[in-house]
Amino acid sequence: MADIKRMSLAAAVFAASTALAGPAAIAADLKLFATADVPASRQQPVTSILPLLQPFPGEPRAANTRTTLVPFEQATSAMRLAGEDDSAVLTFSLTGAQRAAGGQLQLSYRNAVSVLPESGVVDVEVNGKALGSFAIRSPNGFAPETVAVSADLLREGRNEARIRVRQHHRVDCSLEASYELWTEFDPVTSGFIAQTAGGFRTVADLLSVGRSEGGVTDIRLVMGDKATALAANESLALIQSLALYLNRPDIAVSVGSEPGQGAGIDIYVGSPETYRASPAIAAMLDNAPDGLSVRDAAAGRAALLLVGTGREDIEAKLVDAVSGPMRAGFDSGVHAASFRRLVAEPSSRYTLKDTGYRTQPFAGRLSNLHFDIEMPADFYPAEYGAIDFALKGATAPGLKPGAQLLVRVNGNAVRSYPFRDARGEEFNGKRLELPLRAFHPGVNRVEIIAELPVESDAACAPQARDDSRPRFILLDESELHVPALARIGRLPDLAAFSGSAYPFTAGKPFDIFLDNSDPRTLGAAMTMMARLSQSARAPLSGEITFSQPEEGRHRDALVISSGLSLAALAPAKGARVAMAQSGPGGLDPVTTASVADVALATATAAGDSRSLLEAFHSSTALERENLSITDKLSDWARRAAGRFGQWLHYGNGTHSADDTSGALATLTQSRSPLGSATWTVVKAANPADLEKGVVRLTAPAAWQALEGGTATIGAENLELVTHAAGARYVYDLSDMGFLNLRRIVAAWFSDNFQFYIVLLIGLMTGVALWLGRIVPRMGVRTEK
Amino acid sequence: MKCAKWPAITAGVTGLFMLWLPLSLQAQLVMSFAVLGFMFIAMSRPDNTSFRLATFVFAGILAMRYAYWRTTETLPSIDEPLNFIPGIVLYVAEMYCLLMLAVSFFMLADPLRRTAPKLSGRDDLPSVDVFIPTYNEEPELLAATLAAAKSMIYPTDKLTVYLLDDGGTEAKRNQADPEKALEALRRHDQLKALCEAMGAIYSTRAKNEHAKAGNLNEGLKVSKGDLVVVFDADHAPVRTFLQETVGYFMEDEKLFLAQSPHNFLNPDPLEKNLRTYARMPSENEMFYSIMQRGLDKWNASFFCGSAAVLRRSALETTNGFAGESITEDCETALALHCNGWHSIYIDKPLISGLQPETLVSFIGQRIRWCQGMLQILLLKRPFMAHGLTVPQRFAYAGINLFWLFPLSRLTFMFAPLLYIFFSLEIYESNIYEFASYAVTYMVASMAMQSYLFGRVRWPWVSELYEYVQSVMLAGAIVSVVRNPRKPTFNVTAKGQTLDKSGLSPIAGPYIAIFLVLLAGAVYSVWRYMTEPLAGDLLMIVAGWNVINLGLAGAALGVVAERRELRRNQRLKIKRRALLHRDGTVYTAIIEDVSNGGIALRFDGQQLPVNLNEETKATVELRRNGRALTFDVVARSRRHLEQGEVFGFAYEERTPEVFMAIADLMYSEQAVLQERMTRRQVPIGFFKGTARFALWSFTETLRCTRYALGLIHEQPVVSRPDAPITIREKAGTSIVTEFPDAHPMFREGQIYG
Repeated sequence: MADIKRMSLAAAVFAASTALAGPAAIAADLKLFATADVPASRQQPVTSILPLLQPFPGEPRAANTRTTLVPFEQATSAMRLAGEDDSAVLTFSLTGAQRAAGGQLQLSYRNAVSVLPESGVVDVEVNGKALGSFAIRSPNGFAPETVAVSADLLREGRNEARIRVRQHHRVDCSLEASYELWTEFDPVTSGFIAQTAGGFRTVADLLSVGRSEGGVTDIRLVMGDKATALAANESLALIQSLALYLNRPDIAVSVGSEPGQGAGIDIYVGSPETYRASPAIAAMLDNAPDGLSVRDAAAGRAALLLVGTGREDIEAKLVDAVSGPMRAGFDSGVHAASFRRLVAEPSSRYTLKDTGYRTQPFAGRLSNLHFDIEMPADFYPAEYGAIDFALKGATAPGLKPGAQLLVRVNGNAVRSYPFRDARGEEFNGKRLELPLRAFHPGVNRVEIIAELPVESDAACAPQARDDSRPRFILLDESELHVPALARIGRLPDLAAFSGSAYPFTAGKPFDIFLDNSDPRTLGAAMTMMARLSQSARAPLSGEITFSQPEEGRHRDALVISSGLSLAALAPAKGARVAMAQSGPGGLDPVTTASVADVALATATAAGDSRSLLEAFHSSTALERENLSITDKLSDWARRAAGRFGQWLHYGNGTHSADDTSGALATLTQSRSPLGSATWTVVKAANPADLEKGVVRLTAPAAWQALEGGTATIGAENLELVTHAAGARYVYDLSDMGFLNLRRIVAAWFSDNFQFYIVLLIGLMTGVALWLGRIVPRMGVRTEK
Repeated sequence: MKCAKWPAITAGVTGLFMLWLPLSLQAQLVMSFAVLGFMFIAMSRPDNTSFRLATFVFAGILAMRYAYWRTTETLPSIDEPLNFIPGIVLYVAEMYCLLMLAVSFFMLADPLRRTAPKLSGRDDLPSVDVFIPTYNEEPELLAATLAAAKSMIYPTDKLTVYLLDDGGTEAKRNQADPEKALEALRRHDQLKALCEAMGAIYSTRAKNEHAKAGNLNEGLKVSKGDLVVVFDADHAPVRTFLQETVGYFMEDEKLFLAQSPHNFLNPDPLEKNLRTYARMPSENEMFYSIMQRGLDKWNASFFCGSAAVLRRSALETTNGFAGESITEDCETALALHCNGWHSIYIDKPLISGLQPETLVSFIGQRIRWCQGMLQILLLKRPFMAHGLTVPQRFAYAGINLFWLFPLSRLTFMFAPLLYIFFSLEIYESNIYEFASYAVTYMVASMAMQSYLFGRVRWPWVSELYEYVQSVMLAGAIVSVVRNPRKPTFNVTAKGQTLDKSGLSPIAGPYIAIFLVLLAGAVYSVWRYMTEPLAGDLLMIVAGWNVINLGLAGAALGVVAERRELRRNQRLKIKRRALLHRDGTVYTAIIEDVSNGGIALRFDGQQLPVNLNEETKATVELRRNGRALTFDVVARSRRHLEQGEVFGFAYEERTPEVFMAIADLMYSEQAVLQERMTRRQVPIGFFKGTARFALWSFTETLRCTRYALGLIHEQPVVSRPDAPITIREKAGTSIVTEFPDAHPMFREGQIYG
């Protein structure tokens, strides 16, 4: 019964925001980027600093009681702009009163030392209207710049600020040097300074809640000293709904009997159970209205209360709120198109405009457009198809040989297209195939890099640069064609887990096992669930149980373990954990001279015997000049054979590395011991490590880099290390159509081609033998 | 075997499903190597049908993988018409080749080798009419053919030889131009006399309607034998021709055709100009020794216009020889196959004839074949024709479609230039994909070529023949497709001589194409040196262009024609003879023989010969205890391996001398067989390629030399052959003497 209830909540949240608003609303939101276009002639020249820019008044405005800093909703990672020309779209939410009073946009930024101050510039635009620009000159620390925004430019609810950074290197004109350029904004002190006093009275006010000192959005679930499963389950749906409503990727949930400190939201869920748990909570809830309500708590802090008579009533009240006052927030937030993010559906086409990209002539040396594509969680990546990128754009005359367009997917260069014609070329849909194997379920990073050297770069006179003479234009009409995909859920796959909350999607009930009821353990579970619901874009139907996981249950489970010996959690027999080699491995058919290995969020686990052997060989090798020709040849042949072998294994030669000791926390997905369900296990030695580890895991940088079967957060450096899944098992196959099965067969045979070859040759030999018997009996008989 | 049928079909369908899966490059590469390995193993026993079909199946796997990849991965986007249109043209050309590969696998699944049935009693033998259709060939040539036809072993009362003359028809004799009318009249009288003297029947008709088919049909009207044998005017049969063929007709009442190969005494222009005649198998051996045998399996071997026996009663069901197209032979066979008649093919050279000597006449002959075959394709639609079995449909459609090769060959020649000069990307691939799919397919394809045709075709020679013809045939194809009824019968010129070496009159286009390809090669190297990112695609394309350039270079050797002074083609034989001179008898061995004379070797004897004087002698041969004698005049002295050899010309050429020549040249089938078998030795891919590369280089130089007029040749004075002399049977008075120098006979024309 409870399961059905929870499913109805998920359906309500989802329906409230998507089904009611529907694809039309999403499409309308997508147009937002299109209408925000500013004609080039109306753009401000980059060198002029408009009088709109105000000198920084000294004290942060947020400290002023008459003003409030409404932070941007995006996480730190979205606020770092790199390369010669980069943009970000940052959103902030205003109440009606805040909108009417107008205010200022505050951008606290710092930049790389190598940025040339004379030509570095930030363009600011709010809701599609250009506000002005300021020069980039703060290499030594965050410096705030403010831009006045008049009320008529603003709107109630979510507003959009578009920041474009153009910056050049002081001394170096090489292509590589553009990777040293960055400008970043501080998420805590940047935002919109509203000219009204703060305060939380409605659900919509929650959207402007500030960040904690740690730079995260703090949510405190206030409950009695002794958490019960019932209380936890009563709050779970609200926490997920709130995470979806806020649509912030940096939510950290903690649990305690006292409210939190600093900016954040305290949650009280009222039911007879919680009244008994703590008098303080009872006092808070006593005078609260029935259902969902918001009130001010301590400075910068909101209290969110949900009052009901029991679990069912609480959930019914939440459904009312979700389809009532919260609906607009879902529509403009979690279910609106995100900047630089595509949710890919099979057999569909997307333009770069859909990612929020705007056509802009590019005058630098290296243009780098990147965006994320979210692939379906049950997508099988292999060679049966490719995402076609249809390039529309043009190059200017005078590019040096070596100019090229390069596409990287998840850090690997997958396709390059040389700009051969030095007289300039126009591309009207030039097709570049991005092989599906380069993608994985969940979120994938695609980078479209144009390397555009010209002769004058050799001289490198930064002062003499001519920005009026562009080198390249990439039209926003350039398209991505996603082909029909092989759909089969294969686990373990942490990329699908982080990207789409797979396998907990589609309202499927599952268990959340906590091995103890320590508040930090529960907080970690809640943080994880908040993040997962955001990935799924809907609340999940998990049921919290304080116990060891039950082997006999056939439901999937999220297991949160902090310290108790859980021998039962060992991975199922045969599911060995294997380690992936980091970086683009193998015979990468596309090479580039200028792109350095992008620092991946994942690091390689060191210490396995193979890398030790390699290190031994390299340290004991003879000097190259001392080698004889035969040695050199054999050395070359050995390397070539090695590279070929690695290519043959798709560049991920896996070798055993079960060792996850020394990790602060581990995230593992595997089959349950009886094989009837999938367990996703988050484990740490103690509740403190667990809390720290989960916050680290769910932080955007790590969350997006999750893949394979196991991930660990290092105890010392807090770095994420991912381990490839040893063997995957089929979790779900819902599309049994012939074409889907054919794609799955093709994908599987590509991965296991030894079977393909044996089977094909066997079958065809059979056919040949049969032909050998019947052909002599056909036509003029020749059989002896 | 029935129990194996469904499992095998299931395996086949599953295999096809697997072949058409999109796979990774890794899977493709490993699979290709594995399949190639199995294919080479299967190739080890070519005589075993199972192994042979396994070879085909494995090659088919790679071909189908290539076709799948080529179709799904490599075509340019339709949004880029500049790439897309030529890209599709190239794609269609390649798919055509794959289709032809499939058809050839089918045709060659199980080639037949037949053994002639023994002829039964004399009285049961069917009566045979031999038709020798002629238009304007030299009487010498006809005399030799008539003599050979008359010499065939068969009961005299059952063998009648007809000379069907289209050059002396009433229409020709009464034409408006008095000179030509007189020539026709003379020809009519001369040939009539010749036929009378040789015991053949001269027949001509009122008007020249429907060319060769009309002429043969006229022959059917004037004759009544059970079987009809057709010999072109230059096709002289061996004595055993009827023994090897007639027996089949007595075994199978539904048999309408027994076809034997065309075997030639002289080189075609390519063989002559590249000097390969003595060593390299002739072009048509691939068709006769391999393809016709394969077609025979499916009861689809077809009539090739000559060297064949046909059943009169079968021909009567289709009103004689068909004449809608200009290849009446294939058309006739198609009509009879549609009526349920059978054909067989006999893989033994039983006649010997002449090929066109000059490139112009060679191309003219091929234009006729090409247009005629396409006429049949368009007008008769063999694939849909009523009455054919399914294998026959495939076979006919295949042999007719084959003649579209000029379009694909020219596409392959020019396609690389689009990338080299204009950077058009009409084939989207990188070097890894190309290696995994295209290279493995090409390796399989070359290995198959060597496996199937290695005995009769050196590497790259097919491509050279194709290219040489393509340049001139492409226009002919366009013309026949636009108007299938337009082409008219064009008689192939044979027996021509060339006094001087020089460029063929049609050399221009070949030189132009070579220069364009050369420019492409130079430019591609320049691009490779100057464009750091030009990379793999340019390398593939430039390599392909270099192969084309090699072909075009070797073709320059074909269009740079060497002189041809020989009127009469020699046939090497070994036969004992006696030479009478001034009362002395010398024992001699005849080393070779032609229509003009013989070469004799005298072991250990000194023959007093003075070449400056007319040293005359009489040669005596023996056949079945009967003496054959003729007079000769000494002309030359040569030194061969065997010793000194003297060349003698016939002093006069009477019908009796022609009978002796026929006896010398065509009494032994083994002589023709040995000539063919000796050359049918596989040369190997690498050796063949090296030789071809050498030709590309040296023949380009020779053509350049000819083009610049740097030809140093001494004029050679040749003495004319003795004229044909016909005496009245009883007495000695000369009835007719054929002047050799008459201009009309200088460049004889014959059907072929």
